[in-house]
Amino acid sequence: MGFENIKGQKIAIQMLKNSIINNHLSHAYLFVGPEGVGKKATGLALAQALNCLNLDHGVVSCNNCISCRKIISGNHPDVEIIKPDGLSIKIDQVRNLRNKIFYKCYESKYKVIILNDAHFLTIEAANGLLKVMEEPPENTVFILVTSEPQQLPDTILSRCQQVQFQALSSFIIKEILIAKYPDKEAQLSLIASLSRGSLVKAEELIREGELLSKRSETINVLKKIFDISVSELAFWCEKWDKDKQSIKTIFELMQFWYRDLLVWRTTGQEDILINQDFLVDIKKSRHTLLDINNILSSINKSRKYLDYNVNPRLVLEVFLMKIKLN
Amino acid sequence: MSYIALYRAFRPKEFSEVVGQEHISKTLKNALVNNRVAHAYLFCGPRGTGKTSSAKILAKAVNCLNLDQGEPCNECPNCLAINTGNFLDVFEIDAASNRGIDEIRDLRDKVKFAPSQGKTKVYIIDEVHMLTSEAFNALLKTLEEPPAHVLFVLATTEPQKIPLTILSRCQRFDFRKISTKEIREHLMEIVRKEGITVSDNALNVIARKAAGGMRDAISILDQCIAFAGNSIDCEHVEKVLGTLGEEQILEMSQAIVEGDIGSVISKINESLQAGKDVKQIVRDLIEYFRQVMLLKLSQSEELITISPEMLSKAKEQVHKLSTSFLGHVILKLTEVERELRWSSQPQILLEAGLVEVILKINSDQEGMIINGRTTSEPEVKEKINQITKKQEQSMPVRAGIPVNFSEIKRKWPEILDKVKQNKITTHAFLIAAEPVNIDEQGCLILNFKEGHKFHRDKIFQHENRQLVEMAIKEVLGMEIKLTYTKEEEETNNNSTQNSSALDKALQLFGGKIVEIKD
Repeated sequence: MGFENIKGQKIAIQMLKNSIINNHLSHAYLFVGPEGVGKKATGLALAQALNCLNLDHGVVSCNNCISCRKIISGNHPDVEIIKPDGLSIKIDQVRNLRNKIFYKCYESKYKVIILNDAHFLTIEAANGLLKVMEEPPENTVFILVTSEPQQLPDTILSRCQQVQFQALSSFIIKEILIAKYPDKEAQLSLIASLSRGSLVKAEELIREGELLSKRSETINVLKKIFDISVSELAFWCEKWDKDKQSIKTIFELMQFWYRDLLVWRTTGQEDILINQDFLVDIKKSRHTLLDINNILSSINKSRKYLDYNVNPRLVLEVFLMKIKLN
Repeated sequence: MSYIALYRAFRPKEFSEVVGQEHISKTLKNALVNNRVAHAYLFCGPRGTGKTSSAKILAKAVNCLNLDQGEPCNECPNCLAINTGNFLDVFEIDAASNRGIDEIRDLRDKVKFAPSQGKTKVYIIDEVHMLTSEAFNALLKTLEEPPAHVLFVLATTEPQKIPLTILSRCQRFDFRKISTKEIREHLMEIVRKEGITVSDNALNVIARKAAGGMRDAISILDQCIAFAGNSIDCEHVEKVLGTLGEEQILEMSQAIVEGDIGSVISKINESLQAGKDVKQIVRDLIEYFRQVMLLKLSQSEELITISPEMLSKAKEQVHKLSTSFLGHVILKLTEVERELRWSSQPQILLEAGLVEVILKINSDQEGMIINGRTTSEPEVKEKINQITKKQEQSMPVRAGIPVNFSEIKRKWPEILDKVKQNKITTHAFLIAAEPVNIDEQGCLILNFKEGHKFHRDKIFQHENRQLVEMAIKEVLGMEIKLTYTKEEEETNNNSTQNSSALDKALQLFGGKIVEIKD
């Protein structure tokens, strides 16, 4: 996969290409952007562009030479990919890396080090990187990939060139999905808008059809929340309560719903809604703007409780009761 | 030869080139001239302010063969060797990856030997805050009385993590953040040397974004050069950084100020579709409102870093806004920014946050938000009318619903407040009551506490009653009549009956009444 296969990241790709063409390659990049929009793929594409043997126009990798093929299959000796070992990237991994960096390249021109999920660097590991990242040996490129740059220390951030990756527009996601799953075309535009810009999430949605049905359940409950009985609410809570993750998903779905109400109420634009197939119900909702706003901040709070390990079922029930009784 | 990042190429080579740290450069130079160099220094300060660079310059200065007024010559063999990094007596140690006691023991053993090439052995221990506490303690004795030919320079961004025993053995120098102005000037210098044209505005944006770190600034400049080539203007910088353009910021802030929720939300969606980052949008808005606040509060324009074109428009906004409004917006946006860390749906958070800001403005009305002096009253009223109309239009179902009791109950404190504002005595009577329900005619039933008959009678006097009903109307936008529970009287009767039974019992059996409290 070269740069040409990465969709929707024009500025980022343009910048990297220009850096190569203008011979202005930095020794450390930080790829920042939401999950699943092509950061890692871009990292590999950069590695290819730097090491390809039959480079076209200075930046277009051939995907065919031995070097490209090795990178694609993940066994190029000069392209090092570091992933969190367990829950974090540990200082021993960084120490190993430091030792390797000072060897000459085995077969290609550039040594490329890709740190996936760099926000999982422990403090010790991050500090251990500082010196070598500031002044690495010649022809070494660090690529730190992260969706949460604010969790990295300032000292790391200041040593990297930050490359901003964007959430993909639902149009682009749909396009990619259609190419991949032509048989499911009918669902795809909905999935594209539910994925909120992340291709990885969109594919997850396709694989787990369950989520779509969960969404209609959630919306059906929410839209008649004032009419149904408390025991029915409890019934749904019980049904949804499988594990913490599934409750988190429910909260996310509810967030989408109330966000749609908010957006519809304030702008009246249909095209920026998420649950476009429920337009009629969105129009019918009788919450006031203030209510919606309160509910949204309450969802936010509830999600935080989940992170604090409060009993998920309780959080969900209390939240729904609050809306109902308000 | 491969390309070397600008911030490495432009690392200062002598004290005079270190930007913004004159207090340190001067002290060190004087120490060198007067031959009063200490044996241990601690350099601390935020990232990108020149700690490691100064340490390297100091290492050159103590080894330089023709020191001139405390500045290294950068020409003698020693200086050249240090510049290329192969001088035998300068050790740059990365304390973050050599943090254990064994590494320090090793260092201590080698300290004794005389320098092999220069005059002084210099140990630059960078990121020293990462040493383990054992390692720190092992260093203490050596640091206190090293051999005469040794100089230690410790550098760190986090001096608070260093044990006091180490701190007291070093001369401490605090590097300060570099001001936006100094960064801009230095960038101009680099741009000139590199033969690149960069627009003034672009430099401003870069300098502001760097927030006090020179390395950040040069890094961004480097990135812009990589992206745009030899001529850079504001647009390129915005693209590289993913910040909002000035135009967009102005439009968005204008919509916020005018309370136009719809256009705020569509603007956010537009920018996100154009690939801007939510966090960046929040930061840009905060920065802009901060600038507006500075404009409002201070007479001098020294602190203001927005471009002249924007300045004039910002000034227009300033007149319409009160300080408390600006404070509120900035606080709310900062809260949103903080919450963004935890949220998986940043966009929704931002949308909800801005709606809240605007709702707050609408409810606070003229006096608080919009300066009465500059905006004429009818205009304000019209605006409020518009807003309420819009809300009414948008919730047609709501208007038709009969009175909703839970809402009244929830808003009750507000109603009380309203009454208090109008007439404090009425408020005093009303606090004895609480709303219990709504009867079939749609009247609000009030329940008065036992023994508060007087209060009840007062509230239901014509004048007071009207006042309360007015307040309800203002808060809820609905006309509701008041009524009160009859129960109270009945219970009163009951209690009198009870008490008479008690009297009878007393008469019959005699004795005392004892109250039992648990």
